[in-house]
Amino acid sequence: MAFKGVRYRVIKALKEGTYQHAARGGIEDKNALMTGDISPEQLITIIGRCNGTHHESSEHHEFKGIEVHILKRDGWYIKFYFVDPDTIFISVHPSR
Amino acid sequence: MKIWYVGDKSKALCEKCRKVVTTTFDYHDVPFESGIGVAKQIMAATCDECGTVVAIPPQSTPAIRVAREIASRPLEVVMAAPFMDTLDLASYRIDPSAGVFLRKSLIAYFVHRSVNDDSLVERLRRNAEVHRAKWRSWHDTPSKRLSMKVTPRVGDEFDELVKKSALNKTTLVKSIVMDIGSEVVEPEEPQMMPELRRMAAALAA
Repeated sequence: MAFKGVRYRVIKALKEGTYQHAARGGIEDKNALMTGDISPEQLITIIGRCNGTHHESSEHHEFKGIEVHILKRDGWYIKFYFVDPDTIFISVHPSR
Repeated sequence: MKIWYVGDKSKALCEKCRKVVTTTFDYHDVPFESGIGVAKQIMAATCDECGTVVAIPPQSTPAIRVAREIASRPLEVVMAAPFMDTLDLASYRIDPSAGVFLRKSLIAYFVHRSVNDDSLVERLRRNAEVHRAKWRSWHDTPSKRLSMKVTPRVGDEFDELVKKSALNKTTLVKSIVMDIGSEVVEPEEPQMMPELRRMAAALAA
């Protein structure tokens, strides 16, 4: 998916609340969006400032057919994928 | 905002089943991966095939925050007033309206930055030596208490930095304040100011 489509879809999910956080049986403390250390509104601002140079995408390293998107902007690392109709955040944290 | 109810269906990746699975929402006790505790009876989506919690909706964030707050760790140090003045002056320079609110974030920022950089760890270690005379001259000033509650992640990074620097907790905070002084307070145009201002703006939003 092209960057503009990705940005539109992830911002729409954040605005409408149609997103979830990935879990592996537990709460990933480092996901700042899930723990409320960053709000959806703040994240929308950061993502809104992204352009194609801040975006990477690749096939999930374990799951074929799932495209994982990474945005890096303003010191934040944001990783997610889409499963129709929702967006699932894998990581949202300050980048090291 | 969308709210999920018991019995609602969705889809997510299940790492155990190694595929995209259908999920069902219900209330569950979900542990924190860091091992600090459990968020009790929060809405979560489980894999329809293996029952593992594979996704958590945004409506659970407030309950997760409360559970984490209970599990969060105190970080308290008593320092001579000039240390606190330096820290507060740095906060003021970044955002005059932020008040003492930025103290914790500034410390966390410098801890996070230093923990994986050996040269910065070494500088923190040396600060106590380099500034010994200055610190001694502050002995007669009033003592002030810096009291914060930090998230487990910041707490873990702080502990790691204590270990790497071989400094005690109080000396480490004092050393960090020295770095904050030399990088944020003293320079005419601090290099890291744009980044710190963005951080402050995001925190204040």
